[in-house]
Amino acid sequence: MYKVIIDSKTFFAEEGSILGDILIKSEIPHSHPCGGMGICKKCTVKVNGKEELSCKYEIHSDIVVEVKEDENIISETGAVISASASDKPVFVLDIGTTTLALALADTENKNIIDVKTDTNPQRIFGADIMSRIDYCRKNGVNEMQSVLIKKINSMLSRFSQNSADTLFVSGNTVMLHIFFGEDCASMGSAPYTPVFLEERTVNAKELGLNSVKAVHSLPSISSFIGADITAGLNLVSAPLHGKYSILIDLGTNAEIVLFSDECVICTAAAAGPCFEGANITCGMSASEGAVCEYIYSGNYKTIGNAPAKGICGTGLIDIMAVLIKNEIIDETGFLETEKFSITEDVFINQNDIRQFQLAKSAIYSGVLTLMKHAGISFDEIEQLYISGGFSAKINIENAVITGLFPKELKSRCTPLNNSSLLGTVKYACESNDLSLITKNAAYKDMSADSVFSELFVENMMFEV
Amino acid sequence: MNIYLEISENLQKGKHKAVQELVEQAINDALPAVDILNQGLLHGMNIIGERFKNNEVYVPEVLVAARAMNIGLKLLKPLLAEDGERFVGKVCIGTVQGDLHDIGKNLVKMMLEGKGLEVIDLGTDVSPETFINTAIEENCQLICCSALLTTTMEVMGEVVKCAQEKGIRDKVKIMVGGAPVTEEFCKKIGADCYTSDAASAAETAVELCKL
Repeated sequence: MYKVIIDSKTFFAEEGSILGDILIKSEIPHSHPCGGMGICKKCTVKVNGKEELSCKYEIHSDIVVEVKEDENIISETGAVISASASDKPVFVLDIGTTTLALALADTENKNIIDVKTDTNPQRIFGADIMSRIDYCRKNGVNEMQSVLIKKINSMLSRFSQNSADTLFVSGNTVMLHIFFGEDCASMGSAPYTPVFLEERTVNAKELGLNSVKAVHSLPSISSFIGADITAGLNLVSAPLHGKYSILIDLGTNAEIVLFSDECVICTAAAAGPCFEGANITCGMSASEGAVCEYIYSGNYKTIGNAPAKGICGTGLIDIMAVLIKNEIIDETGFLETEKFSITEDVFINQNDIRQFQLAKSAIYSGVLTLMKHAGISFDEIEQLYISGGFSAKINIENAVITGLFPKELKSRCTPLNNSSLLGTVKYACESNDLSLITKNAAYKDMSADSVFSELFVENMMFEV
Repeated sequence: MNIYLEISENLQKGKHKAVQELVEQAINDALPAVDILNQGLLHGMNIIGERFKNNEVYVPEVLVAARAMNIGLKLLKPLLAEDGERFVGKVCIGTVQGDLHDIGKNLVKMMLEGKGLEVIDLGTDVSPETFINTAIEENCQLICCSALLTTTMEVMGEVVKCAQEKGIRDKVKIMVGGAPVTEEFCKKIGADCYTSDAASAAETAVELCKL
């Protein structure tokens, strides 16, 4: 046994054990974006003063570990707060892969009394959905469920008017599986079978939740289109008269839905990690010090006006637009110099540009593929709704320049912020019939779609 | 400019119509099919592969170049057969069971063909048994497994095991690749080699087939 001192707390480790596993057990906030594969290099800690990857470091002696301060991710919910007591309050929770948002809502006056956000503590098991599923497959679901429930309990206790009996829950399908302690392993590979999709009502005690009595979750559509999308569709009304709208949820995974009052077709594109910084060299989540707006050489903004530490999703979109407009990259995305510097330490390199190209083409091509399958043109689209924690901060003009969103829809883009939370609040207040959404929904798998494959290749280029 | 170089340059730009016309012209001029292939099509494809490896061009350019090569190759195939052109080795390739992603796998396939290997494409969602049975029936020297997901890459280990069980592990090499795959993972499951991009995959495949 060796002594492992992490931020002045002492733990014990067996010979040859991995530091990352000790960190997981320690419950010290820390992320392993790639799920401990040693690829992303973002779980660096200091071991006896030397930088090491915690997911790969084997313990063969007593060590002292310093963990970097965990990022406090800023997630805009878009909730309009009207602080007042309520006779009929409910709690509403959105379990995002990266962030949790908990609101106390007044069902009588249909408004939100207070909102708290926090990071999903499961990030220690990996940044994206697949790494969580992989962890579940190898270690079972209990560990991930218990850190989540613990965090939700701590968030519930932060409300001063801590009195609601019911908790409404939304989130993607995998997050809901983990929340209810269901095995999500089968969603990791084709045919991606979920254990459940339907809405659930359970006793809060069964899940170990304090201070609420009943838990009610919203229904999901498929393994990749969860209750968060059902809630988003509940928030916006479907266009009438044969018109369609599109909803793009830019979370850790990007979900795309094309819908009318008669049909809902949806797909998911693996694009999120790019906008949350996981596979960008200087990428980071939207927390203090992240470059969030970029105009040109030296002219940029960071979150909290702190010294620039890295680049978050909105900053990345702006930087890419600048590279294209100024022909610093060509139409194929080729960067002539080794890197494009924002500050001395923060930069974009060729590989980052390639990652962006994959992500933006996946989303753009996903939109076009759904439209093609439905046989509709841009004229028939009423609105392009963009949801997600940073949707209201996206510079739409720049997003269109990079080819993330279709230029034809530039004037019809509407940000929704956290549509999962807001749509669930609406459901809690109005108890709308969600089966109208889930019954009509069809899922299209893009990885097996030849239309998508063709478009994906074409749309990776830039228009200069 | 000599016609071989013209074919090569148009192929690199992905101009499949120009490549088709030039190859037809070269055939009409009674130029040797082997030379059209090696000095024209493969010359261009190798340059693209090299630039891809160096991160100078990306997936889209390789795909459009490969489309042009395939069109040229179709015209040449009957002639190459007459000339008795031999493949340098035989490979089967596929994306492993539970994984439906095929863009990376298709890229490697095209680069393999570009290096003169005969390739059997098993598609996506391929079971370990299918890999091994194909290798036995078709007498392949190499099996190439692709996976995009952390949740499906483990199937590659089962491919290695299946090869052992069916007693062909010493007769066939197994190459693994895809976004989540690493050298370390390759060693862990006992596969023969990991390559990080399509061009290296093709080069290594040729080496392995020579063994």
